[in-house]
Amino acid sequence: MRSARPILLIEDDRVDAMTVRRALRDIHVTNHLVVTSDGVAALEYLRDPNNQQPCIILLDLNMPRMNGIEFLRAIRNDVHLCHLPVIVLTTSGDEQDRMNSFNLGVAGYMLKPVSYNQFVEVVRAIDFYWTLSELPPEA
Amino acid sequence: MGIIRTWLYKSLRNRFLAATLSIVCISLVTLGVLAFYVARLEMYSEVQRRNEQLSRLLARDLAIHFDMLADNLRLFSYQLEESDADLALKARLFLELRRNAPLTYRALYLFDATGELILHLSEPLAALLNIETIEEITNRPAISVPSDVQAAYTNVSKNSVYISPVCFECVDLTPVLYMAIPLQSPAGQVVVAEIDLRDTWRQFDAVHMGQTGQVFIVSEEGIIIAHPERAYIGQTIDPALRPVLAGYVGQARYTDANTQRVMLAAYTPVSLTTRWGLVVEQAEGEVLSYLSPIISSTLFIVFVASILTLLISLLVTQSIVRPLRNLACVTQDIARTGNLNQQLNVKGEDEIAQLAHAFNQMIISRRESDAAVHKLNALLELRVAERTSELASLNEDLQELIYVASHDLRTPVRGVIQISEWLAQDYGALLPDEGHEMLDLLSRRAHRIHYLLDGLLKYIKIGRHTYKTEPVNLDELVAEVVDALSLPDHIQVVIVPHLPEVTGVKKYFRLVFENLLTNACAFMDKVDGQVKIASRDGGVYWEFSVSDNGPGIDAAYFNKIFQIFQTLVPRDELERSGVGLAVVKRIVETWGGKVWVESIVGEGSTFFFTYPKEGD
Repeated sequence: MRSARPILLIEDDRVDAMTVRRALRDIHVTNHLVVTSDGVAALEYLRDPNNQQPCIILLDLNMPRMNGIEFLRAIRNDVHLCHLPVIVLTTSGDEQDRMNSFNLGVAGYMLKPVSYNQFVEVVRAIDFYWTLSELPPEA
Repeated sequence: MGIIRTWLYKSLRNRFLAATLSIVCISLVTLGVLAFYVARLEMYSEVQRRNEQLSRLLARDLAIHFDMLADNLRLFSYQLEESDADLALKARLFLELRRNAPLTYRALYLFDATGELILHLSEPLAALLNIETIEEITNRPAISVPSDVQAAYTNVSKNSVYISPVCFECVDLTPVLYMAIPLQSPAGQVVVAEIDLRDTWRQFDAVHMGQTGQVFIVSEEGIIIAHPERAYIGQTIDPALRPVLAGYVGQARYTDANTQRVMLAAYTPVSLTTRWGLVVEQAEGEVLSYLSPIISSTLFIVFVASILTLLISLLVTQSIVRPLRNLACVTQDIARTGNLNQQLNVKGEDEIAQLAHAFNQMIISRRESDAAVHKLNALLELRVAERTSELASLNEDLQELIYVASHDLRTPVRGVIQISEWLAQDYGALLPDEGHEMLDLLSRRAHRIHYLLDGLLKYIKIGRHTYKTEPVNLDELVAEVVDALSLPDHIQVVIVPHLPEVTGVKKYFRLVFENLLTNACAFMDKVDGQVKIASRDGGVYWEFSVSDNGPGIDAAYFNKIFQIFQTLVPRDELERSGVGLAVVKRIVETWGGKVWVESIVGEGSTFFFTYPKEGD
């Protein structure tokens, strides 16, 4: 990653969180990984001035309390958070979810592969892209 | 015959009419003919009885007349006998007799015993009046005796009167006969009188019997001697009348040889002295003509009676047929429309009325039972609708449950898969071979669960949303699908000749072709795989086919392959979700089409599906 800022993973499933953590480690991404279990916890984290703003947010869609789409809506309405790039990382191939996500300005929409090796490739692609791409300036 | 039969069987009325008409006609005609024959017989016998009575009467009159003539002559002969030899007195008597009965006696002759004519008074009546003295009669010169007179003299016997046959005078055909009477004194003298019969016959002129009724007299030789028509005089009578010559009274029916008319005749012999016969007769035709008023009035009565019977039978038939026709009409109407809200008008109490009444009862009970059935039906339909909606909502619930369950189950399964991979990576070195195998099996089973859930989701998703329909160019769509599938090089896909453009849900068409093509390629066992896509216009639907030259499918599995999670190869050899064809079937059935397969094992399979055009 171009930035040393942390990566925020919003994911309720522990195995999926472990998969992301492991994949990042396997491709030697050193950024700190912050994991919150749902949208509410993520907003709390983001709005806490003590916490450093993440460089990108990896977002699952199906979560308890506040799901991914609701979270997207919330940060797009927040002037302090709306610039953050969000990449959806989900199992849902649902067209409606995809449509809603892009309407809310996501930077990418990735389906979680069943196989771990393929998952690693997905994470590698994300890393590769965001290594090349400029990030929005820090607020 | 056929026409009559058709007419008879056309309606009851025709049959009734035919029956009554035939009964009336047959009986009336029989009665008429019988009456006619009875009347004819009666008329015959009546006419014959009249003829016979008349003939008896007339014969008696004639006999009396003749007896009178003979008596008169005999009286005259007594007078002559009393005059004895006085010739002058005799001449005076002659003159008196002729002058007293001028029309009866035409001439008188007196013969002496030697046969010599001694006195005669034979001049015509006018000349008779000119005679002034008896001497003019007694002193006449001798004349030649007429042969008939001579014959009468010759034929007379000593004691009895002789009556000659009738003969006719040559000049005016006056019928005459000669009567000869022998005198007792002076013995041997004979007086002969020439008698004019016209006066005698004249009494028959008064007899009138129609146009052809007539009376005639025959001589003992069978010769007609008196007849109203002169032409008949002198003719021989018909053999049928001959018994009268033998003295019989009787009747006869014969054909007149002159007029060819059939005559009804009665005859009576006149008397023993003359031995004539008297015949009274009338033409049968005229007798029968008396019956013609009877016949015509009978015919008129038959006609009137027939008309009356016809009218009555029409009325009766109508009264029978009309209610029957009503019944037929109502029955047909009920059969056609099922309208039970009608009743027949019941009049009277006869069998037809009873039938109509029973019919009405039947309609009422039928209506009631119909109403009950309707009520029950409505109830049942309501219940079915309730059940159906219950089932539909249950089905929806079930599908939702399956969707949610399969969706939510995928995440933990994926976790299992990944952890098993990490175990192999991180701790693989620590595990013995058996541990590796177990881990491998664990991973495979977890993958299978994932595939199954995936398939279930794909399957259950169809029909969850209503997608918008749009024009779909199937040529382009299939090309896109083939591209996206990136099929192996040894398989060629051909579209023959090209596919139509339809209106429908693009996503569904893509899924159908995707699954069929994937299916065709997945099992391809030939080095040069051929997959052919074709379409056919089936009228109200399109028929599409995807055929391959793969291994083919046994006909026993034609149904099974379209069921979800059914594959024909062991799971561990080929990991597939087993929903491809089930998804195809579900989509095709969603749009109201049909899907089926035809296949020859070893040569290939063809999958067909239809798409209704009304969906366009």
